[in-house]
Amino acid sequence: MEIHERPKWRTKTGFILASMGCAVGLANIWMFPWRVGQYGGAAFLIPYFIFLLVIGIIGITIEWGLGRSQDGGPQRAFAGAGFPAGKWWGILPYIIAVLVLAFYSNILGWSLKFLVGTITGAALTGEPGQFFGSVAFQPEAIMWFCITIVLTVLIVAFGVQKGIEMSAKVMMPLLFVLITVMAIWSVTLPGALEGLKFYLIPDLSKLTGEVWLIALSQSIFTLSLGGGAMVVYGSYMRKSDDITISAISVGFGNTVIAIMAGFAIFPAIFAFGLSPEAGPGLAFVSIPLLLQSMPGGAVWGVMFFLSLFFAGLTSTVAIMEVVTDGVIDNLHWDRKWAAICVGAIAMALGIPASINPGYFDTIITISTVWMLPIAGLIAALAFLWSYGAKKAREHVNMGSSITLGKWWEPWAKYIYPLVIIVVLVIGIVLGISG
Amino acid sequence: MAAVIVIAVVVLAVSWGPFIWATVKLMKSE
Repeated sequence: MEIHERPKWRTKTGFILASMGCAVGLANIWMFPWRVGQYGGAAFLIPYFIFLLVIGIIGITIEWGLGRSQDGGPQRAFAGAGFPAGKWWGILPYIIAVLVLAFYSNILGWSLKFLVGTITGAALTGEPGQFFGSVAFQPEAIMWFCITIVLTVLIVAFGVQKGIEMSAKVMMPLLFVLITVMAIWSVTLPGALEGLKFYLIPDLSKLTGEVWLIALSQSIFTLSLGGGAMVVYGSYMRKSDDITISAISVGFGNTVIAIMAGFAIFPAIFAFGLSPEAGPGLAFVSIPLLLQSMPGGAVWGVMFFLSLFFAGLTSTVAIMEVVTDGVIDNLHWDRKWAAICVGAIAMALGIPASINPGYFDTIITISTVWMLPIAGLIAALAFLWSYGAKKAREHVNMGSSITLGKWWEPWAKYIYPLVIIVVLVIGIVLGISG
Repeated sequence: MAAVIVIAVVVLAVSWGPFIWATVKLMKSE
Protein backbone atom coordinates (compact mmCIF):
# COMPACT_ATOMS: atom_id res chain seq x y z
CA MET A 1 0.00 0.00 0.00
CA GLU A 2 1.26 3.45 -0.89
CA ILE A 3 1.76 5.41 2.31
CA HIS A 4 2.49 8.68 0.61
CA GLU A 5 0.46 10.69 -1.87
CA ARG A 6 1.31 10.47 -5.48
CA PRO A 7 1.91 13.96 -6.79
CA LYS A 8 0.64 14.63 -10.27
CA TRP A 9 2.38 16.79 -12.86
CA ARG A 10 0.96 20.25 -12.64
CA THR A 11 1.48 21.27 -16.23
CA LYS A 12 2.00 19.46 -19.49
CA THR A 13 5.25 21.32 -20.06
CA GLY A 14 6.45 20.26 -16.66
CA PHE A 15 5.60 16.68 -17.44
CA ILE A 16 7.23 16.72 -20.89
CA LEU A 17 10.40 18.29 -19.54
CA ALA A 18 10.50 15.84 -16.66
CA SER A 19 10.08 12.86 -19.00
CA MET A 20 12.70 14.18 -21.36
CA GLY A 21 14.90 14.76 -18.35
CA CYS A 22 14.44 11.17 -17.30
CA ALA A 23 14.96 9.82 -20.78
CA VAL A 24 17.81 12.13 -21.80
CA GLY A 25 21.03 11.54 -20.06
CA LEU A 26 24.31 9.78 -20.34
CA ALA A 27 22.76 6.96 -22.36
CA ASN A 28 22.36 9.33 -25.33
CA ILE A 29 25.71 11.09 -25.22
CA TRP A 30 27.98 8.47 -23.65
CA MET A 31 26.47 5.04 -24.27
CA PHE A 32 24.87 5.39 -27.71
CA PRO A 33 28.10 6.43 -29.51
CA TRP A 34 30.03 3.70 -27.64
CA ARG A 35 27.56 1.04 -28.75
CA VAL A 36 27.39 2.32 -32.34
CA GLY A 37 31.17 2.45 -32.55
CA GLN A 38 31.77 -0.97 -31.10
CA TYR A 39 28.80 -2.83 -32.55
CA GLY A 40 28.68 -2.34 -36.26
CA GLY A 41 28.73 1.38 -36.96
CA ALA A 42 25.89 2.41 -39.27
CA ALA A 43 24.61 -1.17 -39.26
CA PHE A 44 23.67 -0.65 -35.59
CA LEU A 45 21.24 2.10 -36.58
CA ILE A 46 19.05 -0.37 -38.46
CA PRO A 47 17.95 -2.46 -35.47
CA TYR A 48 18.09 0.67 -33.30
CA PHE A 49 15.43 2.48 -35.36
CA ILE A 50 13.40 -0.69 -35.78
CA PHE A 51 13.39 -1.20 -32.03
CA LEU A 52 12.56 2.48 -31.42
CA LEU A 53 9.28 1.96 -33.24
CA VAL A 54 8.49 -1.66 -32.42
CA ILE A 55 9.67 -1.63 -28.81
CA GLY A 56 10.52 1.87 -27.63
CA ILE A 57 7.49 4.02 -28.34
CA ILE A 58 5.11 1.12 -27.76
CA GLY A 59 6.96 0.34 -24.54
CA ILE A 60 6.48 3.87 -23.26
CA THR A 61 2.72 3.64 -23.87
CA ILE A 62 2.70 0.30 -22.06
CA GLU A 63 4.68 1.39 -19.03
CA TRP A 64 3.00 4.76 -18.63
CA GLY A 65 -0.38 3.09 -19.12
CA LEU A 66 0.47 0.46 -16.53
CA GLY A 67 1.69 3.03 -14.01
CA ARG A 68 -1.25 5.34 -14.51
CA SER A 69 -3.92 2.64 -14.45
CA GLN A 70 -2.50 1.04 -11.30
CA ASP A 71 -1.47 4.34 -9.71
CA GLY A 72 1.83 3.02 -8.47
CA GLY A 73 5.37 1.86 -9.04
CA PRO A 74 6.40 -1.62 -10.19
CA GLN A 75 5.26 -3.70 -7.24
CA ARG A 76 1.86 -2.08 -6.92
CA ALA A 77 1.47 -1.99 -10.71
CA PHE A 78 2.40 -5.63 -11.36
CA ALA A 79 0.30 -6.87 -8.44
CA GLY A 80 -2.59 -4.51 -9.16
CA ALA A 81 -2.72 -5.63 -12.77
CA GLY A 82 -3.05 -9.19 -11.53
CA PHE A 83 0.35 -10.52 -12.53
CA PRO A 84 1.12 -13.70 -10.54
CA ALA A 85 3.45 -12.93 -7.63
CA GLY A 86 3.45 -9.36 -8.95
CA LYS A 87 4.62 -7.97 -5.64
CA TRP A 88 7.76 -10.10 -5.91
CA TRP A 89 8.43 -9.60 -9.61
CA GLY A 90 8.06 -5.90 -8.93
CA ILE A 91 11.28 -6.04 -6.97
CA LEU A 92 13.24 -6.82 -10.14
CA PRO A 93 13.14 -3.23 -11.46
CA TYR A 94 14.48 -2.04 -8.10
CA ILE A 95 17.41 -4.44 -8.28
CA ILE A 96 18.15 -3.32 -11.83
CA ALA A 97 17.90 0.31 -10.75
CA VAL A 98 20.50 -0.13 -8.02
CA LEU A 99 22.87 -1.88 -10.45
CA VAL A 100 22.32 0.90 -12.97
CA LEU A 101 23.01 3.50 -10.30
CA ALA A 102 26.26 1.71 -9.52
CA PHE A 103 27.72 2.07 -13.02
CA TYR A 104 25.88 5.18 -14.17
CA SER A 105 27.15 7.20 -11.22
CA ASN A 106 30.67 6.24 -12.22
CA ILE A 107 30.15 7.85 -15.61
CA LEU A 108 28.61 10.82 -13.86
CA GLY A 109 31.75 10.95 -11.74
CA TRP A 110 33.83 11.12 -14.93
CA SER A 111 31.59 13.95 -16.14
CA LEU A 112 32.14 15.83 -12.92
CA LYS A 113 35.91 15.47 -13.19
CA PHE A 114 35.67 16.70 -16.78
CA LEU A 115 33.55 19.65 -15.69
CA VAL A 116 36.25 20.65 -13.23
CA GLY A 117 38.82 19.94 -15.94
CA THR A 118 37.16 22.27 -18.42
CA ILE A 119 37.03 25.01 -15.82
CA THR A 120 40.72 24.62 -15.06
CA GLY A 121 41.53 23.91 -18.71
CA ALA A 122 43.25 20.63 -17.89
CA ALA A 123 40.67 18.58 -19.79
CA LEU A 124 41.32 20.42 -23.01
CA THR A 125 45.08 20.01 -23.18
CA GLY A 126 47.44 17.12 -23.45
CA GLU A 127 47.42 14.01 -25.58
CA PRO A 128 44.13 12.53 -26.76
CA GLY A 129 42.67 10.42 -24.00
CA GLN A 130 45.23 11.57 -21.47
CA PHE A 131 42.77 13.37 -19.24
CA PHE A 132 40.28 10.52 -19.55
CA GLY A 133 42.99 8.06 -18.65
CA SER A 134 43.82 10.10 -15.58
CA VAL A 135 40.42 9.36 -14.05
CA ALA A 136 38.83 6.29 -15.65
CA PHE A 137 39.55 3.17 -13.62
CA GLN A 138 42.08 5.07 -11.54
CA PRO A 139 41.81 5.25 -7.74
CA GLU A 140 40.60 8.86 -7.87
CA ALA A 141 37.53 7.68 -9.80
CA ILE A 142 36.25 6.30 -6.50
CA MET A 143 36.19 9.80 -5.08
CA TRP A 144 34.29 11.28 -8.03
CA PHE A 145 31.86 8.35 -7.96
CA CYS A 146 31.20 8.77 -4.23
CA ILE A 147 30.62 12.50 -4.67
CA THR A 148 27.89 11.86 -7.25
CA ILE A 149 26.22 9.20 -5.09
CA VAL A 150 26.27 11.47 -2.03
CA LEU A 151 24.91 14.37 -4.09
CA THR A 152 22.11 12.17 -5.43
CA VAL A 153 21.28 10.90 -1.95
CA LEU A 154 21.13 14.44 -0.57
CA ILE A 155 18.78 15.56 -3.32
CA VAL A 156 16.47 12.56 -2.89
CA ALA A 157 16.68 12.51 0.93
CA PHE A 158 15.79 16.15 1.29
CA GLY A 159 13.21 16.06 -1.49
CA VAL A 160 14.74 18.91 -3.44
CA GLN A 161 13.92 17.44 -6.82
CA LYS A 162 12.01 20.60 -7.61
CA GLY A 163 15.24 22.56 -7.68
CA ILE A 164 16.84 19.98 -9.91
CA GLU A 165 13.86 19.95 -12.25
CA MET A 166 13.96 23.71 -12.51
CA SER A 167 17.62 23.66 -13.46
CA ALA A 168 16.89 20.82 -15.87
CA LYS A 169 14.55 23.20 -17.71
CA VAL A 170 17.63 25.24 -18.58
CA MET A 171 20.22 22.48 -18.80
CA MET A 172 18.38 20.10 -21.11
CA PRO A 173 17.75 22.64 -23.87
CA LEU A 174 21.31 23.92 -23.36
CA LEU A 175 22.74 20.42 -23.79
CA PHE A 176 20.63 19.98 -26.85
CA VAL A 177 21.79 23.26 -28.40
CA LEU A 178 25.42 22.47 -27.60
CA ILE A 179 25.30 19.00 -29.14
CA THR A 180 23.80 20.52 -32.27
CA VAL A 181 26.51 23.20 -32.46
CA MET A 182 29.18 20.57 -31.91
CA ALA A 183 27.66 18.34 -34.57
CA ILE A 184 27.66 21.15 -37.12
CA TRP A 185 31.29 21.94 -36.28
CA SER A 186 32.32 18.30 -36.33
CA VAL A 187 31.02 17.55 -39.81
CA THR A 188 33.09 20.41 -41.20
CA LEU A 189 36.39 19.06 -39.85
CA PRO A 190 38.94 17.73 -42.35
CA GLY A 191 38.50 13.97 -42.43
CA ALA A 192 34.95 14.13 -41.18
CA LEU A 193 33.58 12.38 -44.25
CA GLU A 194 35.08 9.05 -43.20
CA GLY A 195 33.33 9.40 -39.88
CA LEU A 196 30.02 10.16 -41.56
CA LYS A 197 30.41 7.12 -43.78
CA PHE A 198 31.11 4.95 -40.76
CA TYR A 199 28.08 6.37 -38.97
CA LEU A 200 25.60 6.36 -41.84
CA ILE A 201 26.52 3.86 -44.54
CA PRO A 202 25.75 0.39 -43.22
CA ASP A 203 28.02 -2.57 -43.78
CA LEU A 204 25.42 -5.29 -43.47
CA SER A 205 28.04 -7.94 -42.82
CA LYS A 206 28.48 -6.32 -39.42
CA LEU A 207 24.82 -6.85 -38.50
CA THR A 208 25.26 -9.87 -36.23
CA GLY A 209 22.96 -11.33 -33.58
CA GLU A 210 25.04 -9.59 -30.98
CA VAL A 211 24.36 -6.21 -32.63
CA TRP A 212 20.61 -6.88 -32.47
CA LEU A 213 20.88 -7.77 -28.77
CA ILE A 214 22.91 -4.68 -27.90
CA ALA A 215 20.61 -2.45 -29.98
CA LEU A 216 17.58 -3.84 -28.12
CA SER A 217 19.17 -3.21 -24.73
CA GLN A 218 20.22 0.29 -25.80
CA SER A 219 16.75 1.26 -26.98
CA ILE A 220 15.18 0.00 -23.75
CA PHE A 221 17.81 1.53 -21.49
CA THR A 222 17.92 4.93 -23.17
CA LEU A 223 14.15 5.34 -22.80
CA SER A 224 14.22 4.36 -19.11
CA LEU A 225 11.98 1.38 -19.86
CA GLY A 226 12.15 -1.85 -17.89
CA GLY A 227 9.23 -1.70 -15.52
CA GLY A 228 10.74 0.89 -13.20
CA ALA A 229 11.14 4.60 -13.82
CA MET A 230 8.60 4.91 -16.62
CA VAL A 231 5.97 2.96 -14.64
CA VAL A 232 6.54 5.37 -11.75
CA TYR A 233 6.34 8.31 -14.14
CA GLY A 234 3.08 6.96 -15.47
CA SER A 235 1.69 6.84 -11.96
CA TYR A 236 2.20 10.60 -11.74
CA MET A 237 0.13 11.16 -14.88
CA ARG A 238 -3.44 12.36 -14.87
CA LYS A 239 -6.16 10.65 -16.90
CA SER A 240 -6.31 13.82 -18.98
CA ASP A 241 -2.64 13.50 -19.99
CA ASP A 242 -1.96 12.41 -23.55
CA ILE A 243 0.10 9.23 -23.31
CA THR A 244 0.40 8.51 -27.03
CA ILE A 245 1.55 11.90 -28.25
CA SER A 246 3.83 12.30 -25.23
CA ALA A 247 5.35 8.89 -25.93
CA ILE A 248 6.14 9.96 -29.48
CA SER A 249 7.61 13.24 -28.27
CA VAL A 250 9.80 11.63 -25.62
CA GLY A 251 10.80 8.63 -27.72
CA PHE A 252 11.83 10.62 -30.78
CA GLY A 253 13.26 13.46 -28.70
CA ASN A 254 15.51 10.98 -27.00
CA THR A 255 16.54 9.64 -30.40
CA VAL A 256 17.25 13.14 -31.70
CA ILE A 257 19.79 13.76 -28.96
CA ALA A 258 21.48 10.41 -29.49
CA ILE A 259 21.64 10.87 -33.27
CA MET A 260 23.04 14.39 -32.89
CA ALA A 261 25.63 13.07 -30.43
CA GLY A 262 26.67 10.62 -33.13
CA PHE A 263 27.01 13.45 -35.63
CA ALA A 264 29.18 15.32 -33.15
CA ILE A 265 31.38 12.37 -32.24
CA PHE A 266 32.00 10.16 -35.28
CA PRO A 267 33.26 12.78 -37.71
CA ALA A 268 35.57 14.00 -34.92
CA ILE A 269 36.78 10.45 -34.20
CA PHE A 270 37.94 10.01 -37.77
CA ALA A 271 39.18 13.58 -38.13
CA PHE A 272 41.46 13.02 -35.14
CA GLY A 273 42.53 9.53 -36.14
CA LEU A 274 40.92 7.72 -33.20
CA SER A 275 39.26 4.32 -33.28
CA PRO A 276 35.46 4.20 -33.17
CA GLU A 277 35.73 0.91 -31.28
CA ALA A 278 37.39 2.60 -28.31
CA GLY A 279 34.63 1.43 -26.00
CA PRO A 280 33.11 3.27 -23.03
CA GLY A 281 35.66 6.06 -23.21
CA LEU A 282 34.72 7.10 -26.74
CA ALA A 283 32.75 10.24 -25.92
CA PHE A 284 35.18 11.35 -23.22
CA VAL A 285 38.16 11.06 -25.53
CA SER A 286 36.65 12.56 -28.66
CA ILE A 287 34.58 15.40 -27.26
CA PRO A 288 37.50 17.23 -25.59
CA LEU A 289 39.42 17.04 -28.88
CA LEU A 290 36.40 18.41 -30.70
CA LEU A 291 36.02 21.22 -28.18
CA GLN A 292 39.73 22.06 -28.43
CA SER A 293 39.34 22.53 -32.16
CA MET A 294 36.44 24.97 -31.75
CA PRO A 295 36.92 28.71 -31.33
CA GLY A 296 35.95 29.49 -27.75
CA GLY A 297 36.29 25.80 -27.00
CA ALA A 298 37.02 26.42 -23.35
CA VAL A 299 33.67 28.11 -22.86
CA TRP A 300 31.77 25.53 -24.91
CA GLY A 301 33.53 22.89 -22.85
CA VAL A 302 32.38 24.21 -19.51
CA MET A 303 28.82 24.61 -20.77
CA PHE A 304 28.83 21.15 -22.30
CA PHE A 305 30.09 19.26 -19.26
CA LEU A 306 27.93 21.33 -16.95
CA SER A 307 24.77 20.46 -18.89
CA LEU A 308 25.92 16.86 -19.30
CA PHE A 309 26.44 16.62 -15.57
CA PHE A 310 22.95 17.95 -14.92
CA ALA A 311 21.46 15.60 -17.50
CA GLY A 312 23.12 12.70 -15.72
CA LEU A 313 22.20 13.98 -12.29
CA THR A 314 18.50 14.26 -13.13
CA SER A 315 18.68 10.64 -14.22
CA THR A 316 20.44 9.37 -11.08
CA VAL A 317 17.95 11.29 -8.96
CA ALA A 318 15.04 9.75 -10.89
CA ILE A 319 16.50 6.26 -10.54
CA MET A 320 17.26 6.63 -6.87
CA GLU A 321 13.81 8.12 -6.28
CA VAL A 322 12.21 4.98 -7.73
CA VAL A 323 14.16 2.65 -5.44
CA THR A 324 13.73 4.90 -2.40
CA ASP A 325 9.97 4.88 -2.94
CA GLY A 326 10.15 1.09 -3.05
CA VAL A 327 12.05 0.94 0.24
CA ILE A 328 9.57 3.32 1.88
CA ASP A 329 6.59 1.35 0.58
CA ASN A 330 7.93 -2.01 1.70
CA LEU A 331 9.86 -1.24 4.85
CA HIS A 332 8.12 1.99 5.90
CA TRP A 333 11.42 3.69 6.60
CA ASP A 334 11.89 7.42 6.83
CA ARG A 335 12.80 8.98 3.44
CA LYS A 336 16.25 10.07 4.60
CA TRP A 337 17.25 6.63 5.81
CA ALA A 338 15.76 4.93 2.76
CA ALA A 339 17.79 7.15 0.45
CA ILE A 340 20.96 6.69 2.48
CA CYS A 341 20.47 2.92 2.45
CA VAL A 342 19.97 2.85 -1.33
CA GLY A 343 22.99 5.10 -1.80
CA ALA A 344 25.10 2.89 0.41
CA ILE A 345 24.21 -0.24 -1.55
CA ALA A 346 24.87 1.52 -4.86
CA MET A 347 28.18 2.72 -3.48
CA ALA A 348 29.21 -0.76 -2.39
CA LEU A 349 28.29 -2.20 -5.79
CA GLY A 350 29.82 0.66 -7.72
CA ILE A 351 33.22 1.18 -6.12
CA PRO A 352 34.72 -1.94 -7.74
CA ALA A 353 33.37 -0.63 -11.06
CA SER A 354 35.30 2.61 -10.48
CA ILE A 355 38.61 0.81 -10.75
CA ASN A 356 38.00 -2.49 -12.52
CA PRO A 357 37.01 -2.31 -16.21
CA GLY A 358 35.99 -5.98 -16.33
CA TYR A 359 33.62 -5.64 -13.38
CA PHE A 360 32.34 -2.35 -14.83
CA ASP A 361 31.52 -4.09 -18.10
CA THR A 362 29.88 -7.03 -16.33
CA ILE A 363 27.57 -4.86 -14.26
CA ILE A 364 26.47 -2.97 -17.37
CA THR A 365 25.84 -6.21 -19.26
CA ILE A 366 23.93 -7.93 -16.47
CA SER A 367 21.69 -4.96 -15.77
CA THR A 368 21.06 -3.42 -19.20
CA VAL A 369 21.52 -6.30 -21.64
CA TRP A 370 19.89 -9.11 -19.70
CA MET A 371 17.77 -7.95 -16.77
CA LEU A 372 16.26 -4.82 -18.26
CA PRO A 373 14.56 -6.44 -21.28
CA ILE A 374 13.19 -9.15 -18.97
CA ALA A 375 11.70 -6.56 -16.65
CA GLY A 376 10.21 -4.73 -19.64
CA LEU A 377 8.74 -8.01 -20.80
CA ILE A 378 7.09 -8.58 -17.41
CA ALA A 379 5.62 -5.08 -17.39
CA ALA A 380 4.08 -5.76 -20.79
CA LEU A 381 2.74 -9.16 -19.73
CA ALA A 382 1.26 -7.61 -16.61
CA PHE A 383 -0.50 -4.84 -18.53
CA LEU A 384 -1.57 -6.69 -21.65
CA TRP A 385 -2.17 -10.21 -20.35
CA SER A 386 -3.02 -9.87 -16.66
CA TYR A 387 -4.86 -6.57 -16.80
CA GLY A 388 -6.20 -7.23 -20.28
CA ALA A 389 -5.36 -5.91 -23.73
CA LYS A 390 -8.72 -4.25 -24.40
CA LYS A 391 -8.80 -2.53 -21.00
CA ALA A 392 -5.17 -1.54 -21.45
CA ARG A 393 -5.79 0.11 -24.79
CA GLU A 394 -8.87 1.89 -23.48
CA HIS A 395 -6.85 3.20 -20.61
CA VAL A 396 -3.94 4.38 -22.74
CA ASN A 397 -6.40 6.19 -25.02
CA MET A 398 -7.79 8.20 -22.11
CA GLY A 399 -6.75 11.79 -22.54
CA SER A 400 -5.18 11.11 -25.90
CA SER A 401 -5.82 13.24 -28.97
CA ILE A 402 -4.89 10.24 -31.12
CA THR A 403 -6.84 7.05 -30.61
CA LEU A 404 -4.66 3.97 -30.76
CA GLY A 405 -6.46 1.50 -32.98
CA LYS A 406 -7.09 -2.15 -32.24
CA TRP A 407 -3.70 -2.95 -33.82
CA TRP A 408 -2.06 -1.82 -30.60
CA GLU A 409 -3.50 -4.77 -28.70
CA PRO A 410 -1.89 -7.65 -30.63
CA TRP A 411 1.25 -5.58 -31.06
CA ALA A 412 1.72 -4.87 -27.37
CA LYS A 413 0.44 -8.29 -26.31
CA TYR A 414 2.23 -10.56 -28.79
CA ILE A 415 4.81 -8.80 -30.95
CA TYR A 416 6.43 -6.74 -28.20
CA PRO A 417 7.05 -9.70 -25.85
CA LEU A 418 7.98 -11.98 -28.74
CA VAL A 419 10.62 -9.60 -30.08
CA ILE A 420 12.20 -9.29 -26.65
CA ILE A 421 12.16 -13.06 -26.10
CA VAL A 422 13.56 -13.84 -29.55
CA VAL A 423 16.42 -11.36 -29.24
CA LEU A 424 17.29 -12.59 -25.73
CA VAL A 425 17.23 -16.22 -26.89
CA ILE A 426 19.50 -15.37 -29.82
CA GLY A 427 21.82 -13.74 -27.31
CA ILE A 428 21.84 -16.83 -25.10
CA VAL A 429 22.32 -19.21 -28.03
CA LEU A 430 25.21 -17.15 -29.36
CA GLY A 431 26.70 -17.19 -25.89
CA ILE A 432 26.98 -13.45 -25.80
CA SER A 433 28.54 -11.95 -22.74
CA GLY A 434 28.27 -8.37 -23.97
CA MET B 1 29.34 11.67 -50.61
CA ALA B 2 25.87 11.75 -52.13
CA ALA B 3 24.89 8.60 -50.28
CA VAL B 4 26.08 10.14 -47.01
CA ILE B 5 24.01 13.25 -47.59
CA VAL B 6 20.90 11.33 -48.54
CA ILE B 7 21.11 9.01 -45.56
CA ALA B 8 21.90 11.90 -43.22
CA VAL B 9 18.82 13.76 -44.42
CA VAL B 10 16.66 10.66 -44.00
CA VAL B 11 17.98 9.89 -40.52
CA LEU B 12 17.53 13.49 -39.38
CA ALA B 13 14.05 13.72 -40.88
CA VAL B 14 12.93 10.42 -39.35
CA SER B 15 14.11 11.46 -35.88
CA TRP B 16 13.35 15.18 -35.88
CA GLY B 17 10.06 15.00 -37.78
CA PRO B 18 7.93 13.01 -35.35
CA PHE B 19 9.61 14.74 -32.39
CA ILE B 20 8.69 18.22 -33.59
CA TRP B 21 5.21 17.15 -34.68
CA ALA B 22 4.38 15.47 -31.38
CA THR B 23 5.91 18.18 -29.20
CA VAL B 24 4.09 20.99 -31.03
CA LYS B 25 0.84 19.03 -30.79
CA LEU B 26 1.34 18.62 -27.05
CA MET B 27 2.15 22.28 -26.50
CA LYS B 28 -0.89 23.36 -28.49
CA SER B 29 -3.23 21.20 -26.47
CA GLU B 30 -2.11 22.68 -23.14
